[in-house]
Amino acid sequence: MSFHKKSFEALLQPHIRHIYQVAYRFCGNTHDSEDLIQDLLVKLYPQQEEMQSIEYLRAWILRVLYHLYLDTKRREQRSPMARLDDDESKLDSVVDTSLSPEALVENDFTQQRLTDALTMLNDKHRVLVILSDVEGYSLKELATILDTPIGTVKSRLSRARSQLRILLSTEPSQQNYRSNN
Amino acid sequence: MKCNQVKLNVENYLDGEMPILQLNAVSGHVKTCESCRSVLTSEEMLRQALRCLPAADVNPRFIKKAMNTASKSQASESWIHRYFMPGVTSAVTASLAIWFLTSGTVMQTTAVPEDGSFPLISMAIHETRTVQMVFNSPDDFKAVSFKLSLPEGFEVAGYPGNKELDWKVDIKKGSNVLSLPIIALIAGKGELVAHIAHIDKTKSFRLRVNSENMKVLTL
Repeated sequence: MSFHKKSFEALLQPHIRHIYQVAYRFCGNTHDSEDLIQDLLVKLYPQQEEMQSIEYLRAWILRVLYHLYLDTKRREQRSPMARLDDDESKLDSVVDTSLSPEALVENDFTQQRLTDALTMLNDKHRVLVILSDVEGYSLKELATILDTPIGTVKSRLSRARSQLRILLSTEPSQQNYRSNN
Repeated sequence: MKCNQVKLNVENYLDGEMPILQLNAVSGHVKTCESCRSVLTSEEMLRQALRCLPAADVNPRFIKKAMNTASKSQASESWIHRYFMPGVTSAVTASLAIWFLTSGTVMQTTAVPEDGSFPLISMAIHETRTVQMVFNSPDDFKAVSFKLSLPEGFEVAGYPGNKELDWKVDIKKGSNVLSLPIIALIAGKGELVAHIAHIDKTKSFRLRVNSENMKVLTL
């Protein structure tokens, strides 16, 4: 079986920018998103032939990306090694006090606040909110990407949004947790 | 439609996951109900804000490099070799420094200390001291072997009876910390040795530990 770099690039060219942006949203920083994309490309390269016959290639690539991302997070959680600055990044993550929905609308849907709240969600919830509410994928598309029944996606997404709302309306001292669902 | 039904269906309404009759009922209700309108507006504003979150654009140079790596990895036995190309490995291991932290005190050690001595941690019997090994890495490295050898009478909490422990760890660029809660079981002293290995390269770091059958000694 032979693989060709040029055909691989051509295959990915229509999707790579979007895939990178999704990876960036998953990871929250350039360094980790580039690592994730590198792992993705290494994984996809030997699958060129299969990829050429896939009808919804972008959704398929996103599915691979999603599983790679979760695998990476699981590996990080199992490893006794941690980044020295990991805890520091969470210390001042979300600011301000408990607010009414009106106040949230007026004052607190800032980009930083939303980004920080998304970071506080657990990995599966964050991925769902990003794909659905940030990237605009429909429930049906999410079911395809995540290879999960649409009803399950719907209920998980509802829980994820609920967690996000709680994080956006909670005191910062109460926000240093991740939900387990 | 009642308020509680509307509030329960706000997500379905905004997701477009609602039959047209129900959708019209929600629309009609929020026109006259300020409370439900507020909930709907809040949710709409949140989604609008999420849709507007910026994403970093892809760096074409990175993509070109990543494509090259992907194609080369196919020819390689293992993709992990990309992190340890010939000529890189020695530079990596040579620049790896290790620090031991206990109770906020930082002690640096190298593979071969100039004065022949190694940092010392003293502790009381049955006391647990968390020793943090801080690795300063110039780059990301995956599946690095990390092996810990403990002297007689010392254990890592949670690993009773194990004199040697080993892990495969991913080391990221910058400072990485490995926390080890060390327990002294008996009075004595010895050397705690950390071995880091990748491919055919190995480096060892040593820390002296000393336990006393009395009060806790501070560093």
